Amino acid sequence: MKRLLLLFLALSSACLSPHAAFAGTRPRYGGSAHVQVKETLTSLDVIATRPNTFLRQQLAMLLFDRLTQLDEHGLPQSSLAISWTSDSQHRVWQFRLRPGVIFHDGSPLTAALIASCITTAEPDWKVTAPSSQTVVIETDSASPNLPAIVSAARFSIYSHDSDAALIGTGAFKIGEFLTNRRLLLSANDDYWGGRPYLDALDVQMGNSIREQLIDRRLDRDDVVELSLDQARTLGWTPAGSATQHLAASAASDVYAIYFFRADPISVISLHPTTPGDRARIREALALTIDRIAIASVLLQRQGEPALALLPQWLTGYEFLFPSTVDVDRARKLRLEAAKNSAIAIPLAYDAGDNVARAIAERVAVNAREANITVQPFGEKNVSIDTAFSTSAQAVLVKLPTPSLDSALALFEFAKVFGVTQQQESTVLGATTPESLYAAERDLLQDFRIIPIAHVPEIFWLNPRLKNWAQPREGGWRMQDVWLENDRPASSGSQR
Amino acid sequence: MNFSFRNKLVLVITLTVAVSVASVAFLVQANIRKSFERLEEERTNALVNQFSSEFDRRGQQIAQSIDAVANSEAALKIALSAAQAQPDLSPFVNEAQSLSPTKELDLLEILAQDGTIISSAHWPARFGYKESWITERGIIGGKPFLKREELPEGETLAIVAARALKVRDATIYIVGGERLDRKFLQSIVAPCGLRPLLYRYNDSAFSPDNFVSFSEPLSSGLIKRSSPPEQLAPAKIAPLIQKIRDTYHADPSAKVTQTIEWTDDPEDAETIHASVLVGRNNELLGALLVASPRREPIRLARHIRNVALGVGAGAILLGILLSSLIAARVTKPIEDLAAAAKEVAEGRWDTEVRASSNDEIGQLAEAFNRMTHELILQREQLVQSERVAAWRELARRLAHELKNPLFPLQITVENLLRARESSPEQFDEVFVESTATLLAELTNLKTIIGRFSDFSKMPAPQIQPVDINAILREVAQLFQAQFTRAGGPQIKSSMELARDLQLVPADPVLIRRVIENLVLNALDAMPNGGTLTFRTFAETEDRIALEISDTGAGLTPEECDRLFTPYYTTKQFGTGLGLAIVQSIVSDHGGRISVKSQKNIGTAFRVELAMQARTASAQA
Repeated sequence: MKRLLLLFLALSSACLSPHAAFAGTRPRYGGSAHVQVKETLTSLDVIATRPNTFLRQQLAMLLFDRLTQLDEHGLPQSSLAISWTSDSQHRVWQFRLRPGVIFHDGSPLTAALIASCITTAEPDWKVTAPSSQTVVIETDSASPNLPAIVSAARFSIYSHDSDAALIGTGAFKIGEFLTNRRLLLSANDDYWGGRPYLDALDVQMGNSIREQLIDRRLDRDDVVELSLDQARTLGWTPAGSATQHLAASAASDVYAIYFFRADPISVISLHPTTPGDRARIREALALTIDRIAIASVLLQRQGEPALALLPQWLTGYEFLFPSTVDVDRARKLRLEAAKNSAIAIPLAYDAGDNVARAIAERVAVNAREANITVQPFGEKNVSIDTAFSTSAQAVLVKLPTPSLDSALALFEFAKVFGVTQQQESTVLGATTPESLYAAERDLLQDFRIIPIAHVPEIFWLNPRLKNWAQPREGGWRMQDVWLENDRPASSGSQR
Repeated sequence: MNFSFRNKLVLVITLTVAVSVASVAFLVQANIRKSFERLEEERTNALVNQFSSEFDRRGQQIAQSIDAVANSEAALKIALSAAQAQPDLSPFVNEAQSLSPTKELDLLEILAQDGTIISSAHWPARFGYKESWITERGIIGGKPFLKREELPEGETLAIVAARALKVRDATIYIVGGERLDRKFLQSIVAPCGLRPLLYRYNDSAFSPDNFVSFSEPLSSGLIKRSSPPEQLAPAKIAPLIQKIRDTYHADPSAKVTQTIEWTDDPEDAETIHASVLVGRNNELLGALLVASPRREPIRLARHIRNVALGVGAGAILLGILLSSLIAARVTKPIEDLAAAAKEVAEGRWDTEVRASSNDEIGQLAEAFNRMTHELILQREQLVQSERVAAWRELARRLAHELKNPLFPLQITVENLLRARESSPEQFDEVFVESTATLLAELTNLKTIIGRFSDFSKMPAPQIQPVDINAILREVAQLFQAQFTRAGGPQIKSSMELARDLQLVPADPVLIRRVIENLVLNALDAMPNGGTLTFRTFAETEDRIALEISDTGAGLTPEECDRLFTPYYTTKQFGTGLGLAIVQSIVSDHGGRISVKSQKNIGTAFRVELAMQARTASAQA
């Protein structure tokens, strides 16, 4: 009897265990995932405004498709284009389009529309649609990385519906939008890559840490973007977390100071300065910044010193950029540039970003060593685009790595910072690590862009959210995740 | 300027009142000013003492807070980490920020053994920098002290204390403090009206940003208040700030006080008393300035001045009234006396003053009346004496004049009688001669009597515009033949007549007679010839003068004095009436005649005539 009882228990376990395991891993359709991000959006027109922030970039990826997409190794894979070829000089590229792709409103995607979107994104290219299934892109110089480049968010293919609302071909479509507060996306049932598991994606923007904490405790959220100090509070270290459900990218985002104004007013000095003098002052500032102290103390080793825009793990050459603090040389350069005249550099940073504030204040302290007065001040949601409306001469920005392809990432950075045409061509033509290094060194040589630190994107994940695969560059793969079970119906309506 | 006695009396009373009121007002003001200054000093000292007490109290609180931090578990953790072989203190970078609010410290730093900042609450970004002063002797565990502290927004002054925490061989330092800011100043209960403010000294020049004021300007809300004056007019206080620094370097114990007029309105002025604030090594770090408004003393002084002016003005008016009344009683008899004396001086000797009282003034009036009475009597006696004397003189002169022709008459008649008796044959001849002589002497007698008759019958002048220069020229022309008569004395005439001499109201006939008489006198004075000078000139705007001078033997002063006395003559055959007639004519014209003479040089007669008709009769 006893043996029979044990056999029954064993059989029961054998029958139940696979079921239980299946219930935990099997994808499940349905449900609405709640996402909290720090950033806010005033407009959904992520195309017209450059997708140079994390949220814009992620939304562009969810709502729209591009000709190609990059895999986890940064290699271009098919998306709206199913194949591509080029001439021997890599100047003319022909993309063959995926048939049967439709927009969110059911209208068909055409080659002419794709050509139009790419032309808008890159007016210097000659883009044509010789047939309904073919798009040809012709560049002035050799562009061996073009298939990767067109996977960038700004090459998203979009259109407008009858109500002039923005529509794409992506996995999700826009449901509801409350400026600076909430964005509701719904699944695109007709997505060519297959319907996402989630029915909807509810993105909450700009909530305070307190609101965020309450929502998390009440089990309302599924994905929460965390700041570094929040992550630290939750016990996250670069080595990982033992207790919390946290996901982190590689140190992909870069904090950088950008002198965005034209040269004549890039620094305020009582001494008349030439462009060369101003470059010396910027170099002097760069030489005073103790990136190691910032990374190790301010960022508590959660970030890495940024010697270049692209991180070491992506390019392999970042260590070649100078890293040492040289206060003596900084003082000498400053003296050459402005004699004993006072130098003041108003530096804007995002008031909602504590890490940015700490970095800006540390930069100010470091700059004092060279008798340069950096005046940090916080501005709500300041970015490269909005900094012009402030009194700042420079802005401390946090930029996501645009792509896992280093060439594409550098090209996108070049676009963001509005570098010269020649520098852009150099980046476009770079195929080897050596040429990329040279191109990036060229971008940074006048110190208008001073990288400071690389930091990861860190997310708190609700345990019920499954199949979250964190890309190294910090993006979302929302079309691949599912919810284990629905939350109580009242939790969503309480918001 | 001639003041009447009454005016003098009013002036004296007014001045006395004004000086008295001014003196009282000045004394009251001076006393009040001293009282205010004493009160102000006491209040300022009270505030400074309160500041010192508050400084010490806060210092003790800070020391206790620092002790609490040093004894906290967090500090112990840091010290334990620091004691490890290769310490990693970066996790503690925000520790000071966590600790400072709980201990109510504005400033808190946790320093490593070498002074490197592990964590800073007031400037988190300064981690890694060194605070080398912490290793100086006497800081750890010592008394809280004043220190210049750097902050992201600039420098500040702070009360600072430091403690050490030692674990094994490692030591960490806890440095904390409180800012000497507006909040600190506001915690001091300032005596009413006083305004404390701080100035922070640093290496750079004066800056209004270095002030910490008791009150902050409000830019919104219902209450509108402007910025403190040191912010509105920093240039006014900058010299004081420099003076405090200079004075401290010259004599650290010296006190500086200065009144600053912030605006054109003196009521906005403030008296500022300065006390220096020094650091641990007696370096000048700041100054406590206690501003005391001048409004109340100025208003009080103004009030006193206004009251004094009012009282003074009232007193002066009262003085004028009283002095007028007094003068009416005192000076009226004196004025009457003065008026009577003036009338007497003008010849009305019968003037009398009414004696209205029996005091000195009344006695004076009676004395005056007696005096005028005596004068009238004496004048009448004198007139009688003079009249008798004149008659005697007239009789003497008449006798003398008549005796001269009478004696030849007597001799001639006696000769006729003797000739008729002794030599009748020659009687006819003698008769003829004697008759001639008798006729001549009778003519002479007739002439003498005619002159006396003329003198007694001087006509009244017929006034009309007269050209004196023309008369002088005519007279000179008339006498020209006599001047150059052969065998006679040679007289040279000289005309020095003023151009543009105005016409004079006079009687031309009488004036001509005056001139002729003077010319004849001059000719008599120059028996050996000489120069006769005719001169005219405008003596003043309303008076001209004519002068006739000779170069004769001249006169003695005694002769000059008696020259115009009737019947006085220096000539052998003169009647002594010529110059008397001249004086009479000039006097009838309201003019004046004078003589200047020097022995052996000559004599000059000057006749002065008024431009306005003013005859002796008119004057009368």
